[in-house]
Amino acid sequence: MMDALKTNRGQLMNSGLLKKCLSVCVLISLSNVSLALSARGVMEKVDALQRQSSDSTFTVSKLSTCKFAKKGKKVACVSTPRVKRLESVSKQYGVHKKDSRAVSVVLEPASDKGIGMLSYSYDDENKNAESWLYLSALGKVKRMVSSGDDKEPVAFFGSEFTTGDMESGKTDEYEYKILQEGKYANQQVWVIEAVPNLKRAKTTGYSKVLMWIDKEKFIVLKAQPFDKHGKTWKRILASKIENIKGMWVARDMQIYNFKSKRMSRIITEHITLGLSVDDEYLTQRTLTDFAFREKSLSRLRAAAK
Amino acid sequence: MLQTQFMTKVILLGLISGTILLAVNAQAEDLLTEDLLADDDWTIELDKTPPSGIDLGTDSYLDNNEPESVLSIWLNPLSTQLSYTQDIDDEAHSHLKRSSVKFNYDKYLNQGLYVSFNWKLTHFLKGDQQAFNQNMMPKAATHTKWQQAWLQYSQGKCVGKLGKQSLVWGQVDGTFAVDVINPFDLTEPLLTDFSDVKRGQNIVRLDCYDNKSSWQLFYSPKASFNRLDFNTEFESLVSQKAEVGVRYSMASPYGDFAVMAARLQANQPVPTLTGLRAAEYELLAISGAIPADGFLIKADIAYKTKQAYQSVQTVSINPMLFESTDDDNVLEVAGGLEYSTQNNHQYSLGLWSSFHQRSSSQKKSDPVASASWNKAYLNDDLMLSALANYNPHQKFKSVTVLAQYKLDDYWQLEGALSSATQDMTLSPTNTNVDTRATTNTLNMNVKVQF
Repeated sequence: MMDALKTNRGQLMNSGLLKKCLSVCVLISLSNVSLALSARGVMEKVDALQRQSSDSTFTVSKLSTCKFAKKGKKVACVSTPRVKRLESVSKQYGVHKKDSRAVSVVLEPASDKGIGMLSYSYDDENKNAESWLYLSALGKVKRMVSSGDDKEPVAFFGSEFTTGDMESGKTDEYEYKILQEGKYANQQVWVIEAVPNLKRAKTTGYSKVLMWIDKEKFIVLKAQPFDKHGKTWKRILASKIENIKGMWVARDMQIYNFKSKRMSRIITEHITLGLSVDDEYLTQRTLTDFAFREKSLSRLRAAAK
Repeated sequence: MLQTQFMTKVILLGLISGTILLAVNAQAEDLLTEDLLADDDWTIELDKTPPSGIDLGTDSYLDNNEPESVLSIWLNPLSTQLSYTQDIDDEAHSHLKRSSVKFNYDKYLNQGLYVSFNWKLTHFLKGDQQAFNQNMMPKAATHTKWQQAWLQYSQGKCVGKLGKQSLVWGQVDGTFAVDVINPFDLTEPLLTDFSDVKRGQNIVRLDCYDNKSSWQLFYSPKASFNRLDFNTEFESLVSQKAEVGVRYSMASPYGDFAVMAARLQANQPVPTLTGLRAAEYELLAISGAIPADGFLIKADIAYKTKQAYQSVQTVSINPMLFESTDDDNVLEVAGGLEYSTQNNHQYSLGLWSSFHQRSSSQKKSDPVASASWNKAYLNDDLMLSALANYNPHQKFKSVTVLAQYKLDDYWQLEGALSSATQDMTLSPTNTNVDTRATTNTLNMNVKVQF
């Protein structure tokens, strides 16, 4: 009987311990699994907020590019900057707000003034992006060859930003991992590594990108793309982060290309979010009906911050 | 017992997998020798003014609340372009030596009103062919022209545009099957703004939009003619007729399409025994641009009535005397294919041909084939292009290589090397090549715009 009792007691004890061990093991396994999910979860939230800040938005941006040099700890332009000013209106569409339409018009320099671009992009892989260009020299709207995902990113108006750097909604083309967490530039951040998948790797020149994500605001404070040899290629810094209508927006973005020793800076001079944008504005009419365009923009400029 | 063994295996599996995952993460961290959270070891001196004195961009944009003066409000929309163009052929002769100044003014007035002006003054230096044409002697000359001067008013879904303007129809660039409303200014050289190649024409036009489709009506009370040189102003020799037309166009994910109908005047008068004549004709046309698997397929198809043509019989009797006694209906077809490669080389192919209805016409078709390539280099500062044209009927072929380089936001240099070959036959009925003339020309242009 004593043996039976001992056996029962043992069994009972073993059962309790067993449960504790199981719980610990499950917790360890789950915590590691949740870390991986969390990285993607973070990036998907960052992407969603970025698209939200592009929804029904009017911006006036100044894009400057120059050669730079580092003297000690200071970085400065060593050539006359090339400056472009653009006025843009964008709106997100679709159930998940992953389709977008945007109109941009060049304000400066004089040689490019009046160039207008209309673009429609779709989340659906089976739908190609559509874009049209208006050149005053041509006097008509020209439909452009669709820029599919199999094309290399091109420089955005000759700057160090590429179309790949500017696009959103491609989180499923990368694998994400949280490398570190802590304080950077007085903000609590995640440092996340993004590695392109096979499909993406064919067109992007980056082998991976490190991103410093603000834990509170879910925006990218710093990004560092690496080339195919694993060397740091560029550094992207965001500053002048403001809360506009509940959304965090970086009004100053700088990119430094360590290979070409060129830098570019986009300053958002004016911005308005959550506008009532008429769908008709995001059509070819805006490219040729200047009176209609200016009439619509006058209202948007008045509301811009 | 069995249960115990089973549970033991589960525990071990959990421990092993957890350990592996922890080890992988630890390894990743070990690989990072750099402290990713450290402050960057540099600061950006953005307020430093470069040697030229132009600032990259300070933070003052947020504080700049100075109102614009009335003068600057009215002067800001004005832009000025200065340019100098010269050519040199393989015999070291120059037929093109001119400088120009162009003023462009675009302003939104208020309440849906927009105004635009474009005026150009060209000074032809002593060696320029146009200067010689104008003076009939080697002497400098000057010419001015209003390229654009119009007022636009937009209200609701419609917009009206009144004044001297360009109206461009068609999709296939570089062909003129459908793009026939504005005549050419053939005094403009190769390296010129494309907008200067067509003459502005007095037109009143109405466009009404409905989401992705639109209707367009236009009326021109006195249509202009091609300008071949400054000595021949056809407007003073031939009565100008009115032109009227309508176009319906729509944009869709499958492509952009348009249908057009118009009653037009021929841009080029033809000589007859009784004098110059510019036929009035009807135009019925369709055009489209269709994206397909990374290609862009373009087409313009135009049916034109009463197109003047030269009779073969008359020409063979006396080459200097020809008579366009018969008009013919012509079907003109232009097709184009554009493609952009993965590394952004842009290619295009084009074919433009006309088919005459009557068998007695001198030519049943007159195809022109073209091919082009272009790509941007040096962060879009350098644009290289190549263009080839071939007309088997006219026995003409040409190749042009063009380079455009932006020194900065204001200055631009352009150079074009052209080689053109023209085979001449004894007569239209004798296709043996009698002579072959090849011209190689280098065109150079420098311009500044501010």
